[in-house]
Amino acid sequence: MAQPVYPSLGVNPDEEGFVREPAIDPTQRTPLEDGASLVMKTKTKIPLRWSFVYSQLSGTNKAALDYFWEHDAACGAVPIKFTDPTNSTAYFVQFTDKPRSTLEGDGQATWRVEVNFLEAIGTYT
Amino acid sequence: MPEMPANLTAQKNQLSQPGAWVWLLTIVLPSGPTLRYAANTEEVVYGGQTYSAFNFTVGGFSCNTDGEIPELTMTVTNVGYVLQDYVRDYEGLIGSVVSFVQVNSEYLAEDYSEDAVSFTVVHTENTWPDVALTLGVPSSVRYRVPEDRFNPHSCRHKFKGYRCGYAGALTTCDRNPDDCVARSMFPGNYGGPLSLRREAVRYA
Repeated sequence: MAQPVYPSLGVNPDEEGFVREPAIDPTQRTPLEDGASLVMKTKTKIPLRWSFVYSQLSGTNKAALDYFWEHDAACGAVPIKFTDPTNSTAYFVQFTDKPRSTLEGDGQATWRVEVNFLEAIGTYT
Repeated sequence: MPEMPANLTAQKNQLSQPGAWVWLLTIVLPSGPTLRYAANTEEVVYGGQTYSAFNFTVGGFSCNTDGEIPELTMTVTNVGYVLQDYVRDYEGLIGSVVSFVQVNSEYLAEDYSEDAVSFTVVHTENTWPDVALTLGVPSSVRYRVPEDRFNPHSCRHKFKGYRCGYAGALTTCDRNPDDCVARSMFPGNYGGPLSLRREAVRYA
């Protein structure tokens, strides 16, 4: 069964503060007397994590995102297909927490929404 | 003491190492299936077996001279209730044999079997989302300690058993040399250590 696809909200996340990086440091480090370290990697694949913000997201798009998080993504339980707008590559990810929304102070009833993803372990389509 | 193959030891001691050192876990359930997991973010195929990516951690293992039975705790994340049915169906996994080995992902064709360590599950605690397995040597109550007791006044053979050899009409035996003489089986079939002094009892 194909995984749910992250909705197109019509806008990209803010460039500022956009994070895509390794989620964990999977190494065991043993410092040696001469200042060097013996470093052992303990995982064969390092999952990525994303953190980004939508500024001035419309109420409709915010509602669509909240609905997707609650129903399609099962509050993060179900891996989803997310295309990173910075490299146009599709990843299978999970929400690590709920979308965090605060009302913008611009008088336009728009929202600032923060989204966090973790790359899902496993193989999906 | 298990020894890691020389080429792997050399690899392990290099400051610059290719591949990842991944813990593999094998749980042999008593009269049940064998579970194989890798503490990794993807499956690992080693020795013709597939080890599923799974989250588990192993506590420290210590040995001392205080006479304590060495034990360690392994914590397995059980968010998806993967182990729940096994814990329920196989009496808390007690008695299962748990084996660990750490392999290098770039050298999976090597034989790491001498580096594997095995324990027996002696205690299981299920506190969602984790299952904590206490691993140690098999329960001490299964074994007689000390293993043997040598008493020159007492035969260790089962009466009328194969080693006793008596096939006569008498139905009891007090297991002492006099009874053995009365049954004409002494000294050849007597199971007591006659070389011990008569008043001595030795534990070994």
